[in-house]
Amino acid sequence: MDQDESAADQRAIVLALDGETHTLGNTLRDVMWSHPHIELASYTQEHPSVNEIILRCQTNAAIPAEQGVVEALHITKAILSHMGDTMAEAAKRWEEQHGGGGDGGQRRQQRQQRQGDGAAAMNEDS
Amino acid sequence: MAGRGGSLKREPQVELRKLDDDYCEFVLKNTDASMANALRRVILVEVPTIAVELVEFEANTTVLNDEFIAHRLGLVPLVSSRVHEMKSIYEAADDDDFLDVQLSLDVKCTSDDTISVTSKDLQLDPAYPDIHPVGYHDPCDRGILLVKMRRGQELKLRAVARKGTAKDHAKWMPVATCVFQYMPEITINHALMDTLTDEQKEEWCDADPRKTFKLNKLTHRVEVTNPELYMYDGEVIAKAEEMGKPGLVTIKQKQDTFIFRVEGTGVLRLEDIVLTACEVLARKIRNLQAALEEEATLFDQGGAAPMQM
Repeated sequence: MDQDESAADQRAIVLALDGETHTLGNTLRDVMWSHPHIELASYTQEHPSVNEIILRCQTNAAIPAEQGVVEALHITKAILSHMGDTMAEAAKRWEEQHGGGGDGGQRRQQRQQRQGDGAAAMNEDS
Repeated sequence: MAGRGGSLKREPQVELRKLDDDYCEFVLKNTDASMANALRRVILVEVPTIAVELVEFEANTTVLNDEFIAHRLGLVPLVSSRVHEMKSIYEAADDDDFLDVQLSLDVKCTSDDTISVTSKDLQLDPAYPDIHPVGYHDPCDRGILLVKMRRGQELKLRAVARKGTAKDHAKWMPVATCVFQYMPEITINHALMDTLTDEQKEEWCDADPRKTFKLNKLTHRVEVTNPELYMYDGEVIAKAEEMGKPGLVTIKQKQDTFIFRVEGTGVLRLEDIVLTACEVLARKIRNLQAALEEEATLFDQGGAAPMQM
């Protein structure tokens, strides 16, 4: 391939992501559309039996397409880490307000334990 | 022709409404439908849990054949709080990595009555006694029925439980269900509403099967009891048109607010499921970033690098 490609060639990129599905494809595509320099973004799963998606990105002349994808990835990661942080915070605040939770799923056992301990009534919301 | 640019909401907010051992309801605000759907998809299929995968039978004289019982064993939910220490068989593992949990079952019916073999008859791995079927230690829980036996029948087997995701098999699904709905935005045209009599108003409210609307007898106004009850069935809209008053109510979906309802099976704590889901999604992005960088260096070196990863 020619090293000094014209800027026009770098405006478009096609990526094949193995092992990815609509989970990542739709999210990335949506984030890419909101990018000011990305003109077109699309993803497709050519066939459901083939576990792969094709991601396309086209930018205006401001940045190369690959950089557009990289920036979209950064934005997506930032959104996700923010989501994770707020979720963790909300869970922590809930624990503080409603008393310690137990380990997965043994609700009846916990109720028995709580009753057995004669612990103070938990402030349950519902 | 530039993109929408800057309209993407970057800081999602989470408001927890309810967090029990097996049910969680939270509102995800200030984010797009694609992000909410990605979260839902990951919670369903990509959060790893532990489930029985291999079963070795030593004796089976029950009425169910081997693969039948093996299938049922696989579906038994195992408490997976330690799944993060484990590696799945697809991940690169050294000899001393934690891959398998050995469970066993040895039941012989000697009485004249029919006995039920349940998940409580499973013997746990002595090395990992905290990996047990859900409800194993709960005296109120009768255990999940595996097979019933009569006198003389015997079941002796060894089972190996491994880490996996629901992408491979639904037995590894950490939740019973995970749904989200848009938050409705309901605006009642009170001017148009006032042209109706009280009976007509009541009739209109009754058209909604979920009783989202109610006539306040004191003020003679139609009120929204709870906007979240509305299931977007359009019955009230049809009723309004039937009564000759189109535009009586406008119901829109708030495109950036989602109510998530997650029902767990006891396999993982619900907040852990959602947090792991966010982490799994973040890991996908990181892998993609790393792969892109690798591709960029290969390309710069002038190799005929294929575009595929």
